Amino acid sequence: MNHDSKHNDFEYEKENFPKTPEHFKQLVADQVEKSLNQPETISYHSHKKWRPAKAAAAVLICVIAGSTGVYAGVRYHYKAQEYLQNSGRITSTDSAANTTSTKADTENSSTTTTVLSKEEGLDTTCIPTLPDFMLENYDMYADAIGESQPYITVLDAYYDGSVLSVYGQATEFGMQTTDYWYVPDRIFINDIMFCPNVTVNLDKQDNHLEDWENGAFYAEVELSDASLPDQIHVEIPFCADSDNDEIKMQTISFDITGKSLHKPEVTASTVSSAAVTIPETRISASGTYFKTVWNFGKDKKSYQKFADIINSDNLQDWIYCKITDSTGMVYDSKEESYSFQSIYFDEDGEHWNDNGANAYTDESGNYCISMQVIIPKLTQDFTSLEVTPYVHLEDGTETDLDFASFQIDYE
Amino acid sequence: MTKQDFGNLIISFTDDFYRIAKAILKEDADCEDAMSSAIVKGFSKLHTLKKQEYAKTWFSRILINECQMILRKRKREVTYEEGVLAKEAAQQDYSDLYQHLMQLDISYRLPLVMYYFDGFKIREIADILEMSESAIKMRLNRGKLQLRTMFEKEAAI
Repeated sequence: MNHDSKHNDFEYEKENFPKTPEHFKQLVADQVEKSLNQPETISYHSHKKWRPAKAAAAVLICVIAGSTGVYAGVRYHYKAQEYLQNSGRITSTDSAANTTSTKADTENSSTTTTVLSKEEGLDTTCIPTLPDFMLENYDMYADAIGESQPYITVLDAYYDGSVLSVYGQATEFGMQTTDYWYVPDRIFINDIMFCPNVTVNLDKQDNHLEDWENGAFYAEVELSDASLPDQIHVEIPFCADSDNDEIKMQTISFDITGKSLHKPEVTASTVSSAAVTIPETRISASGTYFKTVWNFGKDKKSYQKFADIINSDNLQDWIYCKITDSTGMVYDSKEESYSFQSIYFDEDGEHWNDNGANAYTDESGNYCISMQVIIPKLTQDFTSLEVTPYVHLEDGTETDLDFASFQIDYE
Repeated sequence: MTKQDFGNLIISFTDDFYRIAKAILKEDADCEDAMSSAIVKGFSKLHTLKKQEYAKTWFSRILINECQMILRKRKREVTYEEGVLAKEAAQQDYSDLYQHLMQLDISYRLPLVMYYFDGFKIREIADILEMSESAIKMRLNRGKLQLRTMFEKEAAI
């Protein structure tokens, strides 16, 4: 454990963190004692394996059995885009306005977003069940009862191939039941379960969330690193308790299309002849997700120059990269990257990803470095990229890692 | 690792585990529920722990999972997350630091507590939270910056 106080800016405040209550200590002691004396192994629920075929069948059945929700209060918002701009996920209002189009325009642009309101054909459906994956993997929903009246209406949604943003509002029925809601923390896209950032304002008495109406719902899903087509089917599962302690369930769903440019996987060599792989890169109106994998083979010395910084316990030591595109524009990940985290579950298991770098050895014992960034301002197509990683140290000195720089060309 | 050793480890690091739970859930009753479940699961899965030196890290991950389970189950969670709990924290006469921490997004709050208060290394936090080390560094830096901004704004008033 790191108890080195030179890194600990909060050392003097440590005593100000709430102290462990005596009853907590007692509970721990009692529970440990109980577990030590427990003769049998206690088992607990573990997740079953993902079964995509069954999930797909279930969705079909649900759609047939479902009913289209009756919504009230259709309004034109585009809040879904506004929240992305406020969070910095898309770079500016002007930039977004230039690249935003309605669904009808998407045919003519290279990278376009789709921002749809109900007025423009955002057709939502409410079905009284949950996606099959949830029913199979979460015991708490096994006896849930279908609810046909929608809890929310989706007012608009933004999708550009890399990020999905959904803005909704509790229906009249939903507002009557908000005290019983389980805030949704899963969104299914083409049967893959994603963990979104969700914000809901359910506080009827004290509207402390600025600019939020009571019952407002906002969800943002990072999709940059997921291999999804431009047309996606979105399902938002909702659950709520009822007066008689049953769990009610429903799924709000809609289709939406964005358009992104897909650059194929390419390989290159660094100045020092290390192999570099750039997996498929997606350019969208919200930027470019860019992953680089350096394979230094048995060259531990080169690898170590990255690993020492990545593994350093000094917060200020970091590795960034400068990316120059074929038009001469330079993007510096220190200044222009977006701090993201994506979590999703598919047939291959769990996928966790975020901005940053990892040092590891592959199955063949080769020393590898991977780095992934999202550059929101890189929204235009390019035919080549020059990439130069560099080290930033606590004292402000910065050193290019020229031996690891490379250029990639797209045909 | 024997069950007795594991039990001793949990008891000796009770303060650290309380801080982790308190950084996520804040309500003492919820912290107790999460810790209680984590202890049960920790003992039941102890045979899967390969290396004794990772016991604290391993148990921390179990505890965080339990805390997150409670978060998911709790109704009105986001409302709590954004405001009500911050008010409750203020009403309960907690320190300024804790009250400001509570206003941070959990993605910043938890790494800060684990790094500065529990003494975990960045590599350990990355392992527990299943994120890259550089992402943890970024969150620690940004979390600190947000905290500092809060204190400066307060001082300016």
